[in-house]
Amino acid sequence: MTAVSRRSFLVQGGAGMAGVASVTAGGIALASGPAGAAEQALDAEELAVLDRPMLLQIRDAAAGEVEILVGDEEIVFTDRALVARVLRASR
Amino acid sequence: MSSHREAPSISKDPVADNTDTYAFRTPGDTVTLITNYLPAQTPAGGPNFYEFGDDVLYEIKIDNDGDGKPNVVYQFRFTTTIANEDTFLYNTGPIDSLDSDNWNRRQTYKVTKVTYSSRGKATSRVLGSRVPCPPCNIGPRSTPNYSSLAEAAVETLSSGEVVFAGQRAEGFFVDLGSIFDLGTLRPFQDLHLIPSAASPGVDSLEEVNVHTIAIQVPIGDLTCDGSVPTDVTAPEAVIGVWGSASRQKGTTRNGKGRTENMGPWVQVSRLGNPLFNEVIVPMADKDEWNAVGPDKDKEFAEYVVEPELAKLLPVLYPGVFPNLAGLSADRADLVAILLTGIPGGLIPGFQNYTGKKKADELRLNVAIQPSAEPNRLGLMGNDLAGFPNGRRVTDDVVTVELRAVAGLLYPLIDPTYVPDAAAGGIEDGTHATLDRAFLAVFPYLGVPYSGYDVPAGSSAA
Repeated sequence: MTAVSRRSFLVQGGAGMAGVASVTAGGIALASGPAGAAEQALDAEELAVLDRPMLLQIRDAAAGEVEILVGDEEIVFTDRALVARVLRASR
Repeated sequence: MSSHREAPSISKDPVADNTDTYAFRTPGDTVTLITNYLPAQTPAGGPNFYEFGDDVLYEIKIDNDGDGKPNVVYQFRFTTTIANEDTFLYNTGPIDSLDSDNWNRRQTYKVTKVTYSSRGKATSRVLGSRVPCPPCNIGPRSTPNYSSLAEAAVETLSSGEVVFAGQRAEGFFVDLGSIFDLGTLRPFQDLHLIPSAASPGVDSLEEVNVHTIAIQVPIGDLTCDGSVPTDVTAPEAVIGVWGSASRQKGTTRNGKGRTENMGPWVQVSRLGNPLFNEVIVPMADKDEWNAVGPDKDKEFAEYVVEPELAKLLPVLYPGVFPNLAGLSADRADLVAILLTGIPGGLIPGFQNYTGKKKADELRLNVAIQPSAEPNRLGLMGNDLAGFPNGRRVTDDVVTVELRAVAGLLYPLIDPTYVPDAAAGGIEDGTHATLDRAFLAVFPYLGVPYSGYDVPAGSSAA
């Protein structure tokens, strides 16, 4: 994983996006629900790297597989809890 | 058409639509590589004249070891700038030079060369930045002396390559309206299943423009060992070429008329041999074919081995192709022409074989010198420097491929096979009335038609 931390993914993933989430540095909606306060806060360093558009897509909900597109890169990671929260938020 | 709008998906994305690829040996121990995009441009293109996509990665790829993967890639990325955001005009006066203040919307481009080691490690080098494109050919008031204006956009890079990117006259010719009306060839339509009187072919692409990326490269930059081969039989004399266009995987629209792109580049169009995706690959597979590289062409090889068009010809022209109708063997001739290259020993003094790997590439034997008198039928016309040994801008690839599919070259595989008489004569008939002003020098494709002068007669108004 590059550019952003796993924690920031969790925050973005809780932004109420269904399947695909797009975030920019100026437009981050913080998560609500089970995530703790520490996970909701982005520090200055994390915010600084969010200077370009980013796209998150759930590739395989059952496997918890998430793909992030940023710059000219594609990063894939697995986080079943994040996927579950996103899917529930999309209802 | 060669590959103009040839697949459902790319037909809706003209800026990325790779329509033709050319590769041919040129003077000074060079090879000229050309890929075209943005098909069938009506010359009167205002107010938004045609241009390359800033969000598209254009590439020309060369495979010099026969594995279907590129060893050398030339990448082209474009940047559009607007000088005056307060006018709706492309130009506010005559554009008499590439730095004219009257030119409001212009493009420049960056050229990057990527080479791959035998282990696949990529090394990139920027060959040129902010190289100017010419404007589109608008008319005598906006773009006077257009030929000179465009010629100024031919640039020699410090590394030795010569480049050009911009509008050109379409080079491909075909009777599209006829061929896709149930396979009609006008000169032979009296023999068609639904007959009518024979008539001359009609060039459907007459007086339209296209956007061209051309680069002239020293031969030694393309061969696997850096040599300039002189032995036609040497394996290192053969290179495989194709063009492509890619878009980034993710796109969002911000609701204010802007898009944002992110993620890795995903190929959306490619072209090696003309007409491969157009008339070989079935409709349902065309988009996938555009998305993969030649190294994956094994999965499409069955369509070459048993081409649909070869079955249609005897049906559409009853009694004209009896021998073709009886030819049930795999079409190893077409596999050689399109997927592997033609091995040595079949045609005296010629081979462009790259091995058993089946990959749609335009194969060029660079040891063969340019012809003093090119024959439009290339290899079929005993001109070893023409298609399918690479492809020159003047080659009549429609006729060559029609005749090849009709079995004209099958005796190379089976000397006992006798081609139908029609196999050596069929054509769409467009060459007879062809009206194209190709250039004798780089970038070889002709000066684009101006919007003021086309359609014909408009300049008299």
